[in-house]
Amino acid sequence: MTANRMKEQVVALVLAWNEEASLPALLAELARDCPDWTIVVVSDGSTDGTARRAREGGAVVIELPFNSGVAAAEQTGLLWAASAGAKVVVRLDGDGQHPPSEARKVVDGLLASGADVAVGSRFLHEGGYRSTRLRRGGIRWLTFLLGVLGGLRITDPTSGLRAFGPRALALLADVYPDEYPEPESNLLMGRAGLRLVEVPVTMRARGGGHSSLGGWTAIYYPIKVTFALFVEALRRPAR
Amino acid sequence: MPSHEVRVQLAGAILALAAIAVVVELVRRRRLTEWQSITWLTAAVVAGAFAAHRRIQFVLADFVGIYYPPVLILGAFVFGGLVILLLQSVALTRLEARNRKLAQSVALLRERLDRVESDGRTDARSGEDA
Repeated sequence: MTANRMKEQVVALVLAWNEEASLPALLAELARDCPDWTIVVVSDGSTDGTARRAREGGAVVIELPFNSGVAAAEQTGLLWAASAGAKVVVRLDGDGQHPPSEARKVVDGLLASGADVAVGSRFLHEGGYRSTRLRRGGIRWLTFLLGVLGGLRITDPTSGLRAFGPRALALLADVYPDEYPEPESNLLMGRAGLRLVEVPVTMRARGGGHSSLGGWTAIYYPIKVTFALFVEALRRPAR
Repeated sequence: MPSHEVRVQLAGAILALAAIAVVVELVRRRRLTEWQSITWLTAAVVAGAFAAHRRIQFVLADFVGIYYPPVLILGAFVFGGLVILLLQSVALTRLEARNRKLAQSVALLRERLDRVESDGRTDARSGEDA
């Protein structure tokens, strides 16, 4: 799909790893609530019927040959969107946590503010799925770090529901952190001089599949991300 | 029965030669590159030299101020092992990054191919209809 064949130059980027159970409902909701968007599903080495479901749902399907992680999957989608001439890319999780109606709010927030990035935050108002108490504690720690290291005010630094404008798209298609990339990429963009805004959103609990943050990763994640943020702060800002 | 020193020298030489033989065989079978083998061959030769000429460890230990010479050998090999591990980690990280780029390229090219083939089929059908 080339730029002139894209619907409204807004790409809804859905990341999916073995999400055949939840994907059809999400794609149907996207088609209903956001008919003017181009839907791209990145299947991250799925071994179930994710790609087939995505095609049946009318999405552009990009299939990574093996599971490469959320960062590689997201960057693949961003590379596709950049080459297709997208003006805005909004990322949603394939498990149905991010309602398309909320994704639209994030895109509207991006366009209305003129910022480079809009982050959907669960913590700017009450209600919806707000994660466990332990994770919320970790999120507050990351909020603190982003403030200290990058001067950013992000209440929901782990939110995957984000919309990127052209400058952010160009930057992240070129440089993207690995593993759990949201907090680190927020810092990367902030230090590169991009403007980030937050938009209040309501998220849902997962519709299927399983979280990538279970077992030992629940311990590894905060250590890795904290270290990665400090190291990012030591790097020369990306351009 | 040979003396204690001769037995140690013999064991050291056999182990060093066995290590060299294993490394050369791995290179021959293309399981190890020549570049990677240099480190291991060097380690085997150094280990063999220490075993064959035990005076080396006494001279070096005295030079760096280590009271018990075998600690010098052990310490040197632990340090060398850690350096090798670090270099391997760097190489692994580089390979991971390349692997990621390759996987992304494959995925994007596959999508493009699907699209081109789909467009081709559509064009062919349009031609038949006309």
